[in-house]
Amino acid sequence: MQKYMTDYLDKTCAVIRGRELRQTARGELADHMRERYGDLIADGLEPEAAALETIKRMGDPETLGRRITEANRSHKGLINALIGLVLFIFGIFLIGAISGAEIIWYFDAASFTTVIILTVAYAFLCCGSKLTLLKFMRHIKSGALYAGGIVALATLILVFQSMADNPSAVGAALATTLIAPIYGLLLSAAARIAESRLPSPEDGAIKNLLE
Amino acid sequence: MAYDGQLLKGTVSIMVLKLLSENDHYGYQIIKELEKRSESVFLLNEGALYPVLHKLETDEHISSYWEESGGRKRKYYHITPKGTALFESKRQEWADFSGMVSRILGGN
Repeated sequence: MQKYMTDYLDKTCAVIRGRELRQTARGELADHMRERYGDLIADGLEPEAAALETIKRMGDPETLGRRITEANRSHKGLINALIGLVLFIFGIFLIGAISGAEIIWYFDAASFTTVIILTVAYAFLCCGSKLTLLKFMRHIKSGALYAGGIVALATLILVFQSMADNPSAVGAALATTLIAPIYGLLLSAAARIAESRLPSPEDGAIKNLLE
Repeated sequence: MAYDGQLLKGTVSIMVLKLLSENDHYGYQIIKELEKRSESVFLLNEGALYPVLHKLETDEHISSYWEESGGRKRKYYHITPKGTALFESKRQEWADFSGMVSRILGGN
């Protein structure tokens, strides 16, 4: 590929945020430019003139890179993190209840109800879209992974705290540490199973929902 | 011919959805098809197509997949049911809007 075109791709990709997006966008733009270049050569242009014309037709590289980044921005990460947080709080209560460890916050009926209400409220918020259930399960799947990790980390910190304050609580705390990642995995697996039972967007069932 | 950017804004996505409602396309194919159908009157800044495609994909109006052809990997776009619904409503909106503007401009 002509150096002009490689330089153009470098400039464009320099302003694209996110490694994966940078790689896929580069592949896609390079394919486009290669084909345009080939067509211009076939039209009788000299290689250098064809390369310059190709990049001219693509427009300003930095503007393109910025627009590509903007176009790929979505709130999915934020939603997943929020679900993760809700599941994390729920997990802490659950683990506290199972292990009976005093180092963990006590299982509290009022707090448990709050978490349930928050989760249900989120499901209702999603109702603006007709693909609600599918989207909800996808968010839960990613959220559960965040939650498992955070709960494991939090319990580890609590283990160290308990070792300093009350050596007799160490056994219970270690048991809790084991339960935490299992909780994350179970949530994630449940979400994955539920998702696999839902129709894919291409299926007739979803099409009917949309009509 | 260079058209006012403001006039074009929003119409590119309808044209893209129209092409994708007929067949899956990759980026360069869309550009070529738009050139052909407008008899080269409509010449889009080629790079500008990609943010439009990516936005449609982020909003789940289209989906994409990579396919190998001639030893090269190419990204194809496919319209989703959500995209088809959007296209139908945009097409109606455009017909109403252009009809109204034509009536106003055409009147003496």
